[in-house]
Amino acid sequence: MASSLTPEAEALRRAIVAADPRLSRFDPLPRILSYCDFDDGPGGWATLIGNHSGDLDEVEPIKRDLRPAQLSACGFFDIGTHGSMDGTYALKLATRADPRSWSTAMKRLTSRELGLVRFETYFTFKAEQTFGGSPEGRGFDGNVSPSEEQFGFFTLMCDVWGGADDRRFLCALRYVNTDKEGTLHRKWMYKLPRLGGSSRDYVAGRLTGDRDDLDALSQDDWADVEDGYSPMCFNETATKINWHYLSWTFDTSTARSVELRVNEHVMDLTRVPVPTSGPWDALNHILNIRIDLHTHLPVRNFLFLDSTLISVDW
Amino acid sequence: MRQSYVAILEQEARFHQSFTTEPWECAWAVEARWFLRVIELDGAFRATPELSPDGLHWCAEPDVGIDIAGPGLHSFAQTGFGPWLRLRCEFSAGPADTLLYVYLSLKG
Repeated sequence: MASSLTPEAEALRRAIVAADPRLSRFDPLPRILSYCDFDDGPGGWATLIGNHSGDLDEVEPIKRDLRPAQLSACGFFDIGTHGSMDGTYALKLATRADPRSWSTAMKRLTSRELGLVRFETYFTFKAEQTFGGSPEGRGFDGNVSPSEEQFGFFTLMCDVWGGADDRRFLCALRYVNTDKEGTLHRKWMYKLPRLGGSSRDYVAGRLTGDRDDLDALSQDDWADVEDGYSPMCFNETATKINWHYLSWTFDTSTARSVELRVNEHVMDLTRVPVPTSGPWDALNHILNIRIDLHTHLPVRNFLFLDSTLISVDW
Repeated sequence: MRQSYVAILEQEARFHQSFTTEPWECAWAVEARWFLRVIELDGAFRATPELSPDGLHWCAEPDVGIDIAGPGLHSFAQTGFGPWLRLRCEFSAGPADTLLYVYLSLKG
């Protein structure tokens, strides 16, 4: 059930949020479930591993080596410590220097009620500095960095128990900077409503064990978000970071995504189809939010989160 | 309370030659302890921590580290490191095959 504050109480709530320098940069729904400033530790953003019964050989290969996030001072070889947005540390997802590598960070919650959920963060992304030129793309012209073409993509995903009939649904949104052929897109895509990538599917032999996408059956199982072209401030080198605001809202009562916002760019997601299954054992009222990162090249990719906030309207 | 974090840098991984782990940022930490859980080992290797100011350029801390000649849980502590750590595992001459976990436990 949505919160029903009087207009005066809502105005007071907004004023209190606006007066707190940690929160005023966000636009939270009435109840804040989780706020993480990574100057205070990793905040429960843990990595994922595929399901097993104690024997890691049971894990689907793509879910076996998902690199955990680390507390980063955002340091670089040319300027030293960059620091986070208003402190020293950010949470950094980092892949290996391997085109098969993924990194994940997941917040695992359950829901008390159905309704709107909003995930907000200030983030930035980089490919690791390489030396000796870039064979993959264009050369250095003093403005645009070849390293921008060495960053693959990152994904936001929720795994939620909700809807009118206790379904499990999984919304996933992907910022595709480059695709696996190296083409620069700078756009948002959504996962098509196809299921079949669970650990249960793998144990039952319905997956071959060589898929190329952690979040879908294939990197081809994605479609463009309407008005999803979204170039960001890469800022010319591999060592300058500019923080971007992101807000993603989904509705656990309707099993739908609602809206994605990156700085001024607002994308309506209410018509995006959502992968949905029936009830699922052992996941009652699950409310997971996951971020993952993938490189297409033998170059480490990094996704930095200055802070995160998860809020709800119940 | 103090902060702590355990990073699993290699997770039941098999190596047939010398290797280094992924870099790990540890500027916030004051003390580190490495654990190597060696499940299988044919040959012997020395585990030596390496330091870096930027995650790109590395030097060894040769007086710290241990020789590993058999399966089991092995551990050593490290202090006074910089903002990045990784572990180099260098096999001696002869056979080289191991299945292991590498944990980095940090406190600060």
